[in-house]
Amino acid sequence: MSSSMGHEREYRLKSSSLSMERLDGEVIAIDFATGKYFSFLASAADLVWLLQNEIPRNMWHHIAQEAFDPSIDRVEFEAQVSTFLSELDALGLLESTDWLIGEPVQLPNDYPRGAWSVPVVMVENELVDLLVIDPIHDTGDHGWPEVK
Amino acid sequence: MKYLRDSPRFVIGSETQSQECAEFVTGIQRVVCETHKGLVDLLGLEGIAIGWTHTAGLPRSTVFQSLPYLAEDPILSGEEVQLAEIDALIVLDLPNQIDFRAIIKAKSDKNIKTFFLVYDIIPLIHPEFFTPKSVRSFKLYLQQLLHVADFIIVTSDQVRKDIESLGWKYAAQVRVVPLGSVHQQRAPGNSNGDRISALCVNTIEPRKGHNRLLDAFDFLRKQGSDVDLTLIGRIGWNCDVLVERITNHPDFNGRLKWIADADDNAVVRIAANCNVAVAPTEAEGFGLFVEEALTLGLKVVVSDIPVFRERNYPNTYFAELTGESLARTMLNAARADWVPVRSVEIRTMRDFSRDVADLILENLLR
Repeated sequence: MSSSMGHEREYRLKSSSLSMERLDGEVIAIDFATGKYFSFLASAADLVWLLQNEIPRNMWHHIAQEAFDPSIDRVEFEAQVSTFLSELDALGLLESTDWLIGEPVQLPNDYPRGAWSVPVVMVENELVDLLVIDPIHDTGDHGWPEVK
Repeated sequence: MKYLRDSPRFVIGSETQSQECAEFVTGIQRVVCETHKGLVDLLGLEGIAIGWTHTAGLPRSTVFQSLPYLAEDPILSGEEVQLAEIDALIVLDLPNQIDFRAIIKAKSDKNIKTFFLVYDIIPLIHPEFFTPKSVRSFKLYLQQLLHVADFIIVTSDQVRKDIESLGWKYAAQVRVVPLGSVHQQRAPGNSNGDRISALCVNTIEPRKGHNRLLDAFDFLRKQGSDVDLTLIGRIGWNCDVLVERITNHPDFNGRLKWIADADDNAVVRIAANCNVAVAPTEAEGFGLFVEEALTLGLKVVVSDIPVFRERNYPNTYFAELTGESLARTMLNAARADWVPVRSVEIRTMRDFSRDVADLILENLLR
């Protein structure tokens, strides 16, 4: 067990109404309370993964250096992380905590990492608006997709 | 609320929004319709009423009534039940308008049991066969399904393994219940010998292996074999080049035929003049054509992939994933004697319905 020893405010993901799954370097978070979903790619997916695993923030820079690039500037990195977390907090996806239980681990090796990029939160449309085309029902005489 | 019968022990709702809008009958529509028929019979005997329901509260569609086959679906043509009234929800289709939040609310209000049929997760395992948008839609659908399902019915152990391989979280029990044929077992209508009269029933799309089947056809023609090939299936997606290859083939409308729109009766009629069915697909959740072809008296040549190895039927031949192997296996199958099968040997949709009914019943009574 580890607790944060740094000065940064610690967060964990609110899990009660949230489904969050990762595939090929993308995390999709579905908030069943609001019907919205969020997409996190690459560096953003990795930060979400660190949140999911309750890794204290004072370890994040080192983990990112190992996975991306040893030359990532710490000050810039921390600023980007703070902005990212503020966005998640504003979307109601986080709760603050004084105690995190995660052990230091390696990031999932499920996509090719290049240079570190600014983590971005992508807020997507209402779920029902997206699930209007599917590969099973929308095939007709003129091929796919045939939107009805 | 008007129920089919007075005071049922339990009420089940089947999400039918997509099925109602069907303008033609493909594999999934048939699976849903046959399962509905079986569930109404089998669960009706247990005092359980089943009606159609719309989780998203969308208006009723009557498009299906123009299709005689779907118009006979006892649930589709039956009475509506509201989510708030049901004890269990079954989702046998891959509905494009389903409200998972409404299901979550119903589960929290009344603790209803939810049963979802998952045919495959190929859009996630083989995204190269699909458009990015359809992969995204499917990913969201599956993620929500796994969040709310109590029971996930999959049609093969391969699909169970595929879901497991995602490493996603779900509390649902996963049960493997293989599909089956809608046809009665019949004897072959065409004798064995060197002549190959092959039939392939599948949507025209890259993963179904039509290119390899055409390679095999060309190989056999070059070898001087007496071969004809009938393709039955609608145009799918990402298949412009494939469609050109079929329609520009020198044997097109001769030894090579393509029928885009054939109903069950037409398939049965055409199969009676064939001796070999081919399922050359590269990735499959089940591949229902195998059971259907076997009950129609055909010998079946399938790709040597795990989902087909799960079956242990007579008259089945496995081909490696090359055109030449497929060609040689088709020739071997054509020459082989048809092994007589007992009427109960090939699994039927009635078997599938019975297993699903048992699963629902045992968990409603628990």
